[in-house]
This record gives sequence, C-alpha cells and structure tokens, in this order.
Amino acid sequence: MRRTAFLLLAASSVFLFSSFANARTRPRQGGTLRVETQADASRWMTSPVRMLVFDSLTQLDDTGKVLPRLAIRWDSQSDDRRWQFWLRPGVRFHDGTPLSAATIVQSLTAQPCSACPWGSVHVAGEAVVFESESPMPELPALLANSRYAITRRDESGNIVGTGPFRYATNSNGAITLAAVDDSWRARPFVNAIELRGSRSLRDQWMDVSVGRADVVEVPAEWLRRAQQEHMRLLTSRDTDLIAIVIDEKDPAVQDSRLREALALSLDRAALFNVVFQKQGETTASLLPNWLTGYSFAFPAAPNLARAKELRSQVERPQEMTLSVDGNDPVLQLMADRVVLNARDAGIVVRPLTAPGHSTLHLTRIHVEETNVAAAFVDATEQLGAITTPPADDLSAVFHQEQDLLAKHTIVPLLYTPRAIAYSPRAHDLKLSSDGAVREADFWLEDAK
Amino acid sequence: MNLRQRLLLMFSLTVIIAVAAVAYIVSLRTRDAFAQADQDRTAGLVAQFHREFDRRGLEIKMRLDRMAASEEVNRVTFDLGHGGEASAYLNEAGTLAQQYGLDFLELLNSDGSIVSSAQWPARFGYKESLPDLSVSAYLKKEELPQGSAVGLFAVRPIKSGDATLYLVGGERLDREFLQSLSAPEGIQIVLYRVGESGFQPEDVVSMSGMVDTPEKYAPLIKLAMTRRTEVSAIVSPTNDRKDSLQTTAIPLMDRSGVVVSVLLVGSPRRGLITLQDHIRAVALTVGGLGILLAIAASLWITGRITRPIVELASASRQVAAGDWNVTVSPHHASGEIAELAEAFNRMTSQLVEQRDRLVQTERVAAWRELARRLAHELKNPLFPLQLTVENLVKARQVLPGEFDEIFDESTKTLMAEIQNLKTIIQRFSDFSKMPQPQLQAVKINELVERVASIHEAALKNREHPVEMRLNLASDLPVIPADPELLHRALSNLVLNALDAMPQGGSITINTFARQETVRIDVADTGTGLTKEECERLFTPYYTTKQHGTGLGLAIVQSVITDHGGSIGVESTPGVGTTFIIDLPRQVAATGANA
Repeated sequence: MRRTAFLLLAASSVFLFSSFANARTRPRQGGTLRVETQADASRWMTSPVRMLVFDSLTQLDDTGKVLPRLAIRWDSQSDDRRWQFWLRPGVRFHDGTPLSAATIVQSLTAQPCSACPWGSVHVAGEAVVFESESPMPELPALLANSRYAITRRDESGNIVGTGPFRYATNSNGAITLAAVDDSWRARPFVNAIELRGSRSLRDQWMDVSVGRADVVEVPAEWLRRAQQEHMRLLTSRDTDLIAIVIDEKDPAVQDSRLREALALSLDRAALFNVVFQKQGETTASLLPNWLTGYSFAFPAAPNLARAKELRSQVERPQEMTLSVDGNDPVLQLMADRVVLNARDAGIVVRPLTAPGHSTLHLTRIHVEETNVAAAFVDATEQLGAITTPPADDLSAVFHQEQDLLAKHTIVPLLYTPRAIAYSPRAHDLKLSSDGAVREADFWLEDAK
Repeated sequence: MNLRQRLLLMFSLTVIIAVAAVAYIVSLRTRDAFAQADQDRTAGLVAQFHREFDRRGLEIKMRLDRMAASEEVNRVTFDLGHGGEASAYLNEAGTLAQQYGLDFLELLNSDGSIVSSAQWPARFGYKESLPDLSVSAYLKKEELPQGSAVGLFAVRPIKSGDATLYLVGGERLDREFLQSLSAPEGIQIVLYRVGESGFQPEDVVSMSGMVDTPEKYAPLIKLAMTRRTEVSAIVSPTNDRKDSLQTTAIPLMDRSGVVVSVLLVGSPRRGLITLQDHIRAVALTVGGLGILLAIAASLWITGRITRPIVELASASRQVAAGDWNVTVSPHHASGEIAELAEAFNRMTSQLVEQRDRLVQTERVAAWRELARRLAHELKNPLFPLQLTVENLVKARQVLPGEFDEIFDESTKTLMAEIQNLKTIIQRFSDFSKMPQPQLQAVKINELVERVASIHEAALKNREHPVEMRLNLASDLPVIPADPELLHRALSNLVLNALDAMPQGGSITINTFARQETVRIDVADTGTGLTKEECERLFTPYYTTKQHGTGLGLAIVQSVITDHGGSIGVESTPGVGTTFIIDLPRQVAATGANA
C-alpha cells in the first residue's frame, strides 16, 4: 500500500514537474527578433533570414530529398527535358495577390537568367512548365535554391513574397520584417524581425553579449573564438567553397603543367589550421565530403617537389596575377598565402590590388543544395565552368567532377560552414544545412 | 701665313692662354672651395643620418620593450610557452604594430617560424633567420606582398619557460624617415630601395615624395652599389645646368653586408655655377678685350716691321723680273730692317754695275766675234777676188792676146765672188732686221707636214738618204702664229739636222698638246753635240759647221721667242740631237702683236 502510495506520489511529482517544465519552454507569442549584419540593411535579401520572406517551389531536406513547397507535385517528360509543377492552392503574396502559374513564370523570368538550367518556362493551365533541350534531372532540387525564390513587386514597388514575414519598413538603417498573420506556413511566434546593417563583427558580438541583439554573424574564421567565448552558436554544414578559378585562356597558364604545379604547391592545411582555426575542411573536391563522401579521392596535400618539377619543365613562364572577390580580408589573406606557396614552387604570382582581369581568381561560393547533382550544377555554374548536367547519380557526378578538376582550371581549397550566434532570449532558432534560417517557429523568451 | 697673321695669332694666343689660365685657376679654386663645403655638409648629413638611425633604432627597441611588458604579449608568450597554438595569434602582430606605431612587426617562435606578421600576415609558419641580439638596430630588406621595403629593425626576445618569443619590429625607411633628418634648405635627400628587378624609378623617393627624374640618379646608385662605398658625382635632374647637384651616394647594408638601400645627399651647385659663369663672363670679356688689344698691337708692330719687308719682297720680285734699278727706302725702319734695306739697295746697285760691265764685255766680245766672223766670211771671197785681179794683171802683162778671154772669165769670177759678198752682207742685214710675227690661226700639224714635204725630195736624193718621220698629235689645237716665220724656223732646224747626218739617218718631228703650250720636237740621229756646244748653240754667229754663218739657230730662237715661246736642245754625242719648241696656245699679254 505504502509502496503504491509512494509510486502515485512520485508519478504525480513527475507530472507536475513536467507540466512546469512544459510551461517554461512553451513558445511565446510576440516580440521582435533583432538581427545584425555587416552588410548594409538594404541588402537584407542576402541575409540568413531572407527565406522567411520568400518561398521557392521546392525545398530540400538534410538528406537531399526534394520536398514540396509552393509546388505540391511535379512530373517530368521527354527524358527530363520537360517538367511540369502543380502549385499549392490558396497561397497569396504579401500584397494579397494570389499565387498562380503566371506569377511564378513572371517571377522566374523577371531577370535575365543565363545560368538557369531551363530553356523556357511557361504557364500550362494551373501548372508551370519548364522546358530545355537537354535533360534536367536535377531541376526539382535546383528550384529549391534561394536564387529561384518566388517574388513579385507590389504596387509601391516593394518586393513581396509568400513567406511568414513581409517587408515592412526601412528606417534608421534598419529593416523591419513583420509577421504575416495569414501565412500559408502559419503565423510566426514573433511579431517582427528587425535587421540592422553595417555593424562590425566586434559590435555585433558586443551587442549579443549585452542583449542588444538576438542574432549576429559568426564568420567561419571566427568560429573558434566564438566557441572559446562560449557564445550560443548555430552552425551549418560546410557550404561555402573557397576555390581558385584559373583562366586557362590566359597565356600565363595555357600550359597545364603550370596549372598543375600551382595546384600542387598550395598548402591547404596551413589555411585550414591557421586562418580558419580548423573550422570546415580542406578539400580538393568541388563538393563537400559530407554531401558526396568521396572528397578523399581528390588529394589535397601539397607536393612541392612535384610542383617544382612541373614548373621546371616550363621555360620562362609569364607572371600570373591573382584577384579576389570584393574586399574580403580573409580571401585577401589567403591570396597572399597562395602567392607565397606558388613562390616556393618557383611560380611568380602577383596579387592585384585593383579590379581587373587576372590569371587566377580566388572566390568564395555558397552551395545551398543538399542534392549531389544539383549541388554540382550549382557549384560549376557559380565557378563559371562549362559542364553538361550529370545524371542524378553519385558515380556520374564523381566522374564528371574528376574530369573537370583534371584540367586544373578550378582548384578547390576549403569548405567552410556558416554560423550565427544568438542571444539567450531566442529559442528554437534553427539553421538549415545551407546556413539560412528557413523556419519561422522560433520565439523569444521575454516576449509579452 | 704672313708675319702680321703670325703676330696676331701669337698675341691672341698669349692673351687667351693667360686669361684662360687665370679663369681656370680661379674656377678650380672656387670649385674646390665649394666641393669642400659640400663635402663638409654631406659629411654632416651622413653623421646626422647615422645619429637619426641610432636614435630611431633605440626608439624602436624601447617600443618593443614596452610591448614585451604588455599584458597582451605576456599572454601570447605564456600561451605559446605552454603548448598553445600559434594559429590563435595570427592577427596579433597587426594589432600590436598598430598599437605601438610600428611599420613592421613579426612574432617569431624559438625556431624562427613566424607566429604572426603585421607586414605580411600570410607568411605565418614560414621561417625567418633568428636575429642577432648583439646588434642594437639594423637595416633589413623586408619582403612584402607588393614587392619589398627597407626598414630599420630591432629585436626583443621574451622568455617563457623553455621557449623564446622574438618580437622583431621596425620602421620603414621612407619619405617620413627622410623628413626627420631635417636637412638644410636646398639639400636634396633621396633614398633608393634596392628592388628585385633592377633599377625601378618608383623605388626612388625624396623628402617631398616621388622624384621627378629618378633615372638621373641610376648611374650613381649603381656605382655605389658596385663599389659598396660612398661615391660622389654631379647629377642633373633637369636640363638646366644650374639645377645640378653634387650628389654623394651612401650604400646602406644589412647585417650580411648586402646593399639594401642607397642614401643620396645632393648639394645644389647653383651658387658654384653662377660664380663660375660670372668668372667665365669676366674671362671672356677680358679675353675679348685682350684679343682686340692684340690685333691693334700686331697691326702697329707689323706696320713698323713688315712694311719694309713687304717692300723688299716686292723689290726682290722686280729684280727677279729683270728690273735691277729698283731700290727700297727704309722709311721709319731701323735696326736690322734698315740694314736689310740698305744691303738690298747695295746689292741691286752692284748688280746693275756688274750687269753693265757684263753687257759691255759681252758687247765687246760680240763685236770681236762679229769682226772675226766678218773677217772670216769676207776673207774667203776676197782671196779669189785678189787672185782674179792678180791673174788679170799678170794676163795683161804675160798673155795680152788672151787677156780678153781671161778678162771675161775673171770678170765672171769677180762678179760671182762679189755676189757672194753681197749674200753674206744680206744675211747679216736680214738678221739685224728680223720682222715681227704676223699672227694668225695656224694648224701646227699642217705646217709640219708642209715643211716635211718640201724637204722630202732633198732627203731622198742624197748620197746617204735621210728618213723623215712625223708623229703628230691628233688633238693639237689651233694656235696664233706666223706661218711663214715658223716655216722658216722649222726648215732651218731640218736643214741643220741634215747637215748633222752626212752618213744618213732619220729626222723625227713630234707634236704634242700640253696644258698651256704646243710642243714641237725635231730630233735627228746625227753626230750630236757636246754640253758646251749646246749652251752656245743659239749664240749668233756661233756655228759648229765648217761653212755656216752661225745665224740659223739664232734666227730660229728669235722667231720662237717673238712668238712668246721657248726653244731648247737636248743632245747626246753620237746619238743625236733634239730641238724642243714650246709655243703658247694663247697670245701672251706682253707677247707678239697680232
């Protein structure tokens, strides 16, 4: 009896405790999520929260499986040369315009798209049809990319989407995204997201530490410091590829032995260990190892002896020039290291200080796709490599990548993750594998 | 060059050399004085540079000491000394360099590997040679992403456990460094950084920034780098000579003795050049005036010296032309010139006296010769006359019957001899009355051929025939001459040649066109003449023949000289004789009348 009573007491205690705990972690409605970025606030469409305003036709899960988003089903014909997507009913843009095949076609054709995988897109009844002369087996996966998010301009010229937040105001260098009450994805917990731009990393970190910001940026090279400072971090998969693109038409590198010598001279480990503080991964492959599993097949270790040997086989090579994307200081540092590594192999590389054509270009691309074939197409498109889309098959992608890299016109160096730090008041923030906040079910602890 | 010109040249040279020597010496002394001043100034600047160098080195060292004592560096040192990862301090050097105002800063591990580099952050992990701690400050060429730079460096080691962290900091040797030298006004200080690819203009900087014409410094820089010691030269940054600088190049070497930079201290030469220009202007003025003075002096002196000499020369030419009555007046000449004039006058007067005596003597001799010839010529016909008359007298006495016959015969003989006497007298008369040539255009070759044809029969019909050969030039010009007189002269020569060849032989007449004359050679292969005979051959009444008047060749010479020409003879005894006649192409001004 006493034992039974004790068990009942214990069970009620557990129930009460769990009820209390549930009450403490239950999402709260309201509040404003304060996000800070280094870029100007007007460039909010490149921020991690952009996909809270827009939707794409499809989405990828972490395994690369294509899931419905604005499109609820799709079908292919003519050996994947023609794809038809049927739309989710009842979806409206933030200005009240119903989502239709016509608005989707209008969105996808609003800007010239030379790198788009399709040849044409048009309306077919309630569906949207994509057509191409070559097969597009990976089209549903590619359409999940944020580049193909569905947008339109309202009567005021503001850009609107179908996501749970809408663009509201722009004042004092801050953008406000307001929650959409009747969003097809359900109303978010928070009332708004305030995006403050032009904040240095140090300021962002200071703000998040003193509670003036809820979400701040953490570049990959600062991740370790953020960890050492015990910041709350959300880290994506390795999605950013840093690579050197070699202009094979440039007379200085027309000899493939020089390109190979340059690739062999590069000490990726030093960059990984020192510049990125062991965050991400060294790679000689176009796609991250977590996605393909075959990165190891592309040796990333330097071979200075072989590089020197190849270099010595070329008489009086011309000086190479090296440029980097924008004013990225990390890329600039890496470029300087590339110059040093190349010099060790006897190759003269001069970093360009002003924009202009260069023999080598150090660039950082973001690969969103979790589908191997789509990721390959996306990466090669961004790197300017001309390839035929591979079959949606790991082996086919591997061989195609092998063929591409054998030309030594693209030299992958590192894959790095994306990360954000958030304040203790923010709950249920999730970072998708590509480093973006795609789900709006986060909430703020002190919201009233 | 006459005496006046020589005197002028000598005086001018003397003045120029004297003025130039003075100007040169003054200029040299001035330049030496300026050079000494430049040298002192440059030495002062170099000393100042070294002082600044040491001061800056000390300052860098002090900054490194302060840095070493800072919390940040202690933390890094401790962490690295206790197994911390160097990669965590990649940007540390940049932050510290900014904080402590250094252009260069590297944190080196015990093994010399770079932990962090402010000047080239990407060089992490690369190894540097460990600095020599005994040196307080040193120069070093630092590799940078965009080339290289030269800096003044100092080192500060920091111990932590068994490990040592080296702080290697420095300041760039650049325009600011040069400005800190506080050079005197006008002094140009230029710094050249030794680059990797030879001389590059952008590697030359001055206190005011980039140098306008850096390539002008290149030869001096190269010389200083080659000799590895201070060298001086004049550098002209612009085309204006006054902008030139007396520049001293001082090679700056790193710890291993490699020239990493060259300091150039330029002292303006404007003052010196202005002074030199002034000296040159004064020298030129003085020289010019001196030359004018020399001209005047030489004119005055030559007026006194050369006028009598010129007169003497003119008088000498007149004497040479045959006018021996000329005299010179010494005017204002004195001394040797006056003596010379008097001697000249004495000489001409003596010459005239001697000539007169000679003429008198020759005249007497000529008369004697004439008398002898006349006696000889007249004696021959007179003897038959005497015999004939004596025969007539004797025939009248002894053979009165045959007297008439003898008389007629004797009369004929007498008339013949008298005729002979008349002929002799006519010849002498002819010689004394040689006519003046009547000039007309004459083709010499035709004249020669006519003479040859006239004598052709006589030459062949001799016991021992004589051959006549003619070598006549085809380009012979027509000359002004008297054909009859020339015909007579040439005939005389042909007859003379015939007389010289009793045993036969040949007569050759050649004609040539010469530059100003036409030459006629009449050569025989006769007995020839001796040298003495040749000399007297044209003397009237001189003959080598048994029955000659001695007037033939005299007439020939008279004809030729009347034409303004000349006649000569060349002969070798036993071989033959050649008469050479040169007749002028044009009528001489003083020649025969047309």
